[in-house]
Amino acid sequence: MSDKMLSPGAGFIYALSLTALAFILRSEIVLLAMVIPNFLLSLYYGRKKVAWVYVLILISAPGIFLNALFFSNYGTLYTTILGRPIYSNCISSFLIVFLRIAVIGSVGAFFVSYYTPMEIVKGLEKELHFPKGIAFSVAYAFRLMPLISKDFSEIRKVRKQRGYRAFPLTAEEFITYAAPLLRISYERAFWTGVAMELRGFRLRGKRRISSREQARFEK
Amino acid sequence: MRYNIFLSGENVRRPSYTAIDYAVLGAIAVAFGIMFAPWWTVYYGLKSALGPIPAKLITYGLWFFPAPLAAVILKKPLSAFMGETLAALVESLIPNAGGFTNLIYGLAQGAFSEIAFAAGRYKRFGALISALSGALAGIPSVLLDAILYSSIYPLGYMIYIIIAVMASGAIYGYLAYLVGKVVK
Repeated sequence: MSDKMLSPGAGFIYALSLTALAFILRSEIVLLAMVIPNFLLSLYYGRKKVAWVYVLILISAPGIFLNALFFSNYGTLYTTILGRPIYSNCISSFLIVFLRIAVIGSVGAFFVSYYTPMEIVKGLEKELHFPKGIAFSVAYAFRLMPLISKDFSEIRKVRKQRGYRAFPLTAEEFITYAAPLLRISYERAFWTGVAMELRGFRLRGKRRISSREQARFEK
Repeated sequence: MRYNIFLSGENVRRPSYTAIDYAVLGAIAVAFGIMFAPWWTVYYGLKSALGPIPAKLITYGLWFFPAPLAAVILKKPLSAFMGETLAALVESLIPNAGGFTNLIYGLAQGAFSEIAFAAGRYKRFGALISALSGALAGIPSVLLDAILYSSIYPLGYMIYIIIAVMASGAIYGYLAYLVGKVVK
């Protein structure tokens, strides 16, 4: 199914397990050891695709540090920043939470850079035995992505032609994008579903034939 | 049509999902999967500028949106759960800072959202139930946050956070009901 060293199903379980572990681990060294290989692998397989994930993680760092400074600043004195004492627990809390977020981000980044969406969908259905309806929904979602992107650019073009702001900033502007996009997607999904039902989607399954029939086919 | 998934017997109708339902769930999943990914940037930006509580009040509800929306459109048992989980799965497969936590959060939020519709015996899919569904999704979200950020937030502060997140969920749940009515 896939020529990769790690099959998509195994990759899915690996990413999910490491993410779940990141919730409970409290050791900075272990968390760091989990970040480094995933960080390097994700950059190796999809540098442009995942670079902004790391930018986002870095953006979150000041917020995490401020929270640690306000709520967990106790222990032994570590240093002072702008005359404010920084205690040991503030540093360790910041490091634990930041590294947890880094583990989660890097594992997710590695997974999405290593596999294509369609490989993942096939892996979910064939290896992990997800129900075919769920696998179809995910596959259909990825198929719709370029169509939605095209619809979005058309709405933006129309808004520009009418002298409105191209990028939505207010809630009202957001609705002018979201309502037609959802309406079109719903209509498209509805008729796709009708067509699939007419072609017997629910009856799909492994065809069982007798050995005599098989021998006849093989002739 | 009446459904009851908790009883067994000849007179009980099991929820039957058609290809149309799965396709609609896929459409909801992609629409919100795409919206969720950049929403992280909005959340982190607001969190850095305004602090965690206003940021959660403004942004968190959107992450609970697909559950009531899917339920209002499909009106079937487990539709809220599947809507939320699939959107979270799609979000997990798009590169973003949340990675697979999206899926873990989505599963839990979907299950809690489903409780509101199950409490209405899958007969009521109105504004109140949708808002309740959004608010309930806030509970696991805060609990998981508490585990993830336990090193930082004290318990008392978490109570303010849970109120903000549930309020946000209720607002977005009501909006999901309005959007569901327009879409369908």
